[in-house]
Amino acid sequence: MKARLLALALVIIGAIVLAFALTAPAVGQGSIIINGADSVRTETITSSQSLASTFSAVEPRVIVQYANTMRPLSLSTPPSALQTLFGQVTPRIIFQYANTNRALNLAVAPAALQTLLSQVSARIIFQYANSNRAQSFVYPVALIGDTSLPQFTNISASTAGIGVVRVSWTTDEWADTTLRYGTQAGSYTTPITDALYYKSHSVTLTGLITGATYYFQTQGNDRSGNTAVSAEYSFKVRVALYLPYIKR
Amino acid sequence: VKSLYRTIETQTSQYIIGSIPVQNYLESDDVHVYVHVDGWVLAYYLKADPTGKIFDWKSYTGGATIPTKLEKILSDVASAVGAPAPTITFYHFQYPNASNMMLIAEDTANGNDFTVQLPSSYAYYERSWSIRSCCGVEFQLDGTTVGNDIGGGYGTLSASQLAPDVTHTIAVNGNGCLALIYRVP
Repeated sequence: MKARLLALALVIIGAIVLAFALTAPAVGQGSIIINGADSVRTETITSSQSLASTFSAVEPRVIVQYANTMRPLSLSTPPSALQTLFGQVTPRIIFQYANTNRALNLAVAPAALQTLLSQVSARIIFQYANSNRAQSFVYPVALIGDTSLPQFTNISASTAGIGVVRVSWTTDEWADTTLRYGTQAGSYTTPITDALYYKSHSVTLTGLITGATYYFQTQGNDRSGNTAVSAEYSFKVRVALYLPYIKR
Repeated sequence: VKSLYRTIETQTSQYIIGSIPVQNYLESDDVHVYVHVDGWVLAYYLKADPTGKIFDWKSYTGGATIPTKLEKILSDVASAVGAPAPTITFYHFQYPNASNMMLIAEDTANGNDFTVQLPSSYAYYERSWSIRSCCGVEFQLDGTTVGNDIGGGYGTLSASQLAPDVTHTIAVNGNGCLALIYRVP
């Protein structure tokens, strides 16, 4: 009995499989698989060249929907008279929403104050430092005990232009600079001085008479106050020679 | 005073020259000292050392006084010979035209920086700095570190670094000092 029931079940399953195979549409590899549909329609999609051209020809525009009314207005350039008027408006500080404003003109400091300011000597300015200490330098004359005079060497005069002569010399120690000169031997005009100490000294004399002979002496004070004066030297101011230039 | 010296360079019947240690400082901070029988005492550093080196940052407490190592040694020598506190003057032999020295010091109280502006009408011969030589202390000029405690804790600034007529900001995260050697016209 069991064998007969088993054989009947196999016959029924085989019939169902056969029926399904007969009703399923024919499909290939990679196809869309459809089951139970009454109909199937397949279409090929192609682009529309003419419609694409139409879309590109449409200009951008404001798209309005659901508005009750619409009024387009063209903006025109202001008339030239108005533009000229705008150009004449001076620039100014524009402010809004301030409660109060007050414009004040800044006046030039009065002359007396300016004079006072000009008399303030330059100084080192510092802020917020914890400490500061300014110390003047004092040359220890007694400690050094120098009684030697500065010695002059390499005294020379060279032309530095028309009516301009540069006198230079060296000293064997730090010394200040003084030069006395004049057109007569032993007679000198107001000296030219430089209070700074140098070992190489130079003084430029200007406004000299071309062709004239000048006499000069150098003087130097060292830091201990020893003063030395050189012998007298002279130089002749070179005459400027101008040649005519003829253009044919 | 011979016992004060760490090293003696020259000794005659008239004078003695050598170097004396500054208490609590390294040997590199020893001060050179000339002592003469006529009473002159000269304390100095060699010309290769910047002026800022004289700043005694170990004695500086931020008050109105800026101590220097040179004065400390002069005081030690005066005490050793039983002399009263000496009258001290300063001079920089390397710059015969310099008329003044200015020290501007900063400690860690009331902020760590200060500003300084130099007039262009002055002639400047040396701009130097000195800081506490330990503990990561730095010397900053206008926001840039120009020196630290490595290598002695002192150095020089160029004319372009500390240009006149410009307000400069100097910051030191410890005891530090700016030293200026200049001439007032």
